[in-house]
Amino acid sequence: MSRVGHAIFAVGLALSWTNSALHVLLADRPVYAGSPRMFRGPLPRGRLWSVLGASGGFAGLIVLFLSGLAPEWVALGVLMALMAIRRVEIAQWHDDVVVRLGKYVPAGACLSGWLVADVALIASGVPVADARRLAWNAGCGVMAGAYVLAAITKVRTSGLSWVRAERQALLIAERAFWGPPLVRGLRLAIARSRSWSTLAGLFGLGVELAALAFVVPEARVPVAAAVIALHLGFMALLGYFEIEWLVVLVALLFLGRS
Amino acid sequence: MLTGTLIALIAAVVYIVVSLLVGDRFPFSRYCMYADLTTRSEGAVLYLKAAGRFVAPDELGAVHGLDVEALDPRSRPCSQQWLVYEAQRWLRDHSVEGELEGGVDVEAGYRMLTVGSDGLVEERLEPVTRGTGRLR
Repeated sequence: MSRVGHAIFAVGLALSWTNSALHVLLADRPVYAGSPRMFRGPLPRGRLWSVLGASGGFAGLIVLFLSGLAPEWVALGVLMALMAIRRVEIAQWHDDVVVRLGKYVPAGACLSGWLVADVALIASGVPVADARRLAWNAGCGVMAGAYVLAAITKVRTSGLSWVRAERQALLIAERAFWGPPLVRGLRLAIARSRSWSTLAGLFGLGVELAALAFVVPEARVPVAAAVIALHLGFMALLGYFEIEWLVVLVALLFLGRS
Repeated sequence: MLTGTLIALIAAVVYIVVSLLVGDRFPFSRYCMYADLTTRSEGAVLYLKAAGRFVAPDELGAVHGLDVEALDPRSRPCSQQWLVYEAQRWLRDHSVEGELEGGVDVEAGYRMLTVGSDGLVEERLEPVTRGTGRLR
């Protein structure tokens, strides 16, 4: 089993937790805007100590995850913890807004895939060490499935018109009002170009569909490169730095090599 | 390698099918971000102006007289609903009852954007609510 992959995946889990914990901790401040001002001013003591205490517990789980002790039970604990903090985050907002606007947990989804496959393989008689190693392929499958689902949902909801220049251009132009001046300029330039806007849409949808190839071990490196390029595009054009996705993806390159 | 591919493929198919069936229930999701935004011909971007300049919500320490609920992003073709919800919560939490002494004029509304077929990005401001505020 890849120790490097394990360590990188642990970072992905920690990022997932940190993301939710920050949203819980700074619940009364604009976090999505990304301004350092969100850290200004005192925090309610009760909330601060609750989040710090829970984060300490999660850090303990990460240490256990890295130690390799009883990995199935530790994975279950990690998943329960991620589920719990997600519930807290959801409860802080009215209706189902956190879920509706995309609260994704790729590290948790891939770890769930690993856990289910691992238990199934052990139950079917595969030696425990082999099951634990092979089950990371299920994590890769879940990662592939997540991107394909994003593509399926777009095509089901909007058809292929999703990639049309005016749709993409509007999405990008809306984000030309914040960020460094250079990035704002880039967003406006792309929004004004029909060919670049169409290319952005086609590339996005194409990579999400092609991510199915992540199930094939030999294809994982090129797929990961394309997905990383996609996320860099998200960051530049839409302003989303979704580092958890990238870290988990790279971890799976190591873990799924067996 | 074949075993790895088979396990990954089964996991992918199961994850896709279950996600499509159950929707957004951890660890499943349909990952529908931005999927339904293609019917828009305009884009709505929240803006806040204080003393005549554009400001971020958390640059305001107190506001008075703003109809925060009227900024509801679901009533507009808005793809940045999170920013609006957070701004609404900030403004709600920092609303004060009485007039603000020495407060500046505050206006909140939406920039309505269109991108023409020739690539021209046009913008008009659509004020929604006005009040006063104090910058932090």
